[in-house]
Amino acid sequence: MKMEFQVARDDYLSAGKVSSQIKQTLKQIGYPNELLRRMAVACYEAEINMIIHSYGGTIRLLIEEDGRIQMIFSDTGPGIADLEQAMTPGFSTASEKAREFGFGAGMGLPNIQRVSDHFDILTSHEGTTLTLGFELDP
Amino acid sequence: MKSVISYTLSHCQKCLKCLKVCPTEAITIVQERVHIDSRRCINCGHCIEVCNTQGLQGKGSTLVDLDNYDYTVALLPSALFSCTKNAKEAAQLVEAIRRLGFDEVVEMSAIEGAIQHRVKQRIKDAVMHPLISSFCPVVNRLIRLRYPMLLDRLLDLDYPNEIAADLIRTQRTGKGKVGIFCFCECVSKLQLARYPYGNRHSQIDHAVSIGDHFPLIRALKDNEASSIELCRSGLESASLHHDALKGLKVLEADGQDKVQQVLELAEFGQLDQFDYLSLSFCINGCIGGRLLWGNPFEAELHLKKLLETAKKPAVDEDLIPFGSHQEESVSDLLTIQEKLKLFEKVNEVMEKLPHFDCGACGFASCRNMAENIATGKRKLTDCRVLRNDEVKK
Repeated sequence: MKMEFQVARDDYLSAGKVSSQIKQTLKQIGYPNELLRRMAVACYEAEINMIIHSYGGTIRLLIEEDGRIQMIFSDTGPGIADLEQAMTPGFSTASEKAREFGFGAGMGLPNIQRVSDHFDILTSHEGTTLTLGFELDP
Repeated sequence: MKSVISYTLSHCQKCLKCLKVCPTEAITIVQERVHIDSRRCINCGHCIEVCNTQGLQGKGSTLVDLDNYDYTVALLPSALFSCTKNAKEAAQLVEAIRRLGFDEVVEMSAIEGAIQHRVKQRIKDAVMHPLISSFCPVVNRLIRLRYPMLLDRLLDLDYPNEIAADLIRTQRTGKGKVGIFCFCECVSKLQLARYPYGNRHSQIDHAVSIGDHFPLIRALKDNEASSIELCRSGLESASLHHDALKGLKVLEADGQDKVQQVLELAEFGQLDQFDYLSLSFCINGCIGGRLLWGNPFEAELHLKKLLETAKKPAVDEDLIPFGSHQEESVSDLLTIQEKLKLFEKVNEVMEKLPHFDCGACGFASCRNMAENIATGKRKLTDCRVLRNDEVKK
């Protein structure tokens, strides 16, 4: 099963809307609580990242027949300049505007990696694709 | 847990208001009758509020059972006193309730106060924050049904009236068969007692609606007053303001909309900067309970006045045990693969339905209808909108 959502650049007021829909869907299906919590946190953080840092893009939710889940966040740029730094807890390049909205604590990517079972990130100046995997019995 | 909402067919105008207002889609109309699904009903009472013809009601025990006990105790939660203008009137209320035929009246503020101290201790000891209050039965049911990811954040403290009843029972041994009657300020608390809704785990024998006994209480009330003293932190726990939790980052949310918004955010881990989420489904906390005869705003004024003279200390907090509510858990019968198949089937049906959520089929939403079609309980032709389109062709 596939679902696809669009995320627009700098649309701070819609922050979390896609994650809410995805969370609602996964709850309706009836995933176990511990897994739901990890997926919700990862999805929310990744969605916020797209809004703050990227030029916009799509979020895809893929559910395999056996129940495994993939979330793919792909944007159109500008890419992450220094991935190693971005993966360091507390490091942030968020703009003043993003911080005014309470975002940009520098915990986004490290948090996402912590709660997901598979974490894969590809980045160039043309865009970033973050692929997260979740297992039923990790 | 059972639904305490009772339905009277002869009063029902089939207006569908209850169907629309139910936050958990527990209500369906089957063969022109309201049907309430106990597994989904959270006993919030919204359906009672919108029903103009008293087709839906929340009733508690009567007092006829007083004769079945050797010694009877009336249990009064602090919220009840928000209906009285000052300490004198509060004492008159206690006396009037005693005159209903009780051997003893226990007002709970000193126990509720001690519970607040327990809450504070629990928050300080906790590794994961925020913790969530466990005192509103509606919120607890809502979390169980809709926000199960947060279940392990609920405080491990029982309902104050349950804790109070337990204490009273141990302290009144030797008095024969003790009957504890709790006067409830909201419909959801009616479900907690042994009677009338059969919660066999409870230490409370009977849950009584304070509102239903108001005419009698008023008739019995005069200038004579019991000597009572109220406890500040206990009284406060019936509203949204908790001085006892000073120094902690507490988020207080009341009413359905706020509570749901808070729970949504908490699921994303976006409220982790708070120590404690104090949640109440009624406006302004328990003083907004719909079985009270005042309104939640006047109640707040009254409470402020009462706080001026509330000097009684809380009981020793070591008397308050930790431990969660006894709730029957729903077992998961389907595997995730089976759940996925069902979900996809429901989605396929959804594509054919109009998405109006008109309620004409008797279900609150098209999704609810689709679930019933997918499991073979309804047919697509039961959708009145589709049937109308068919006729036009």
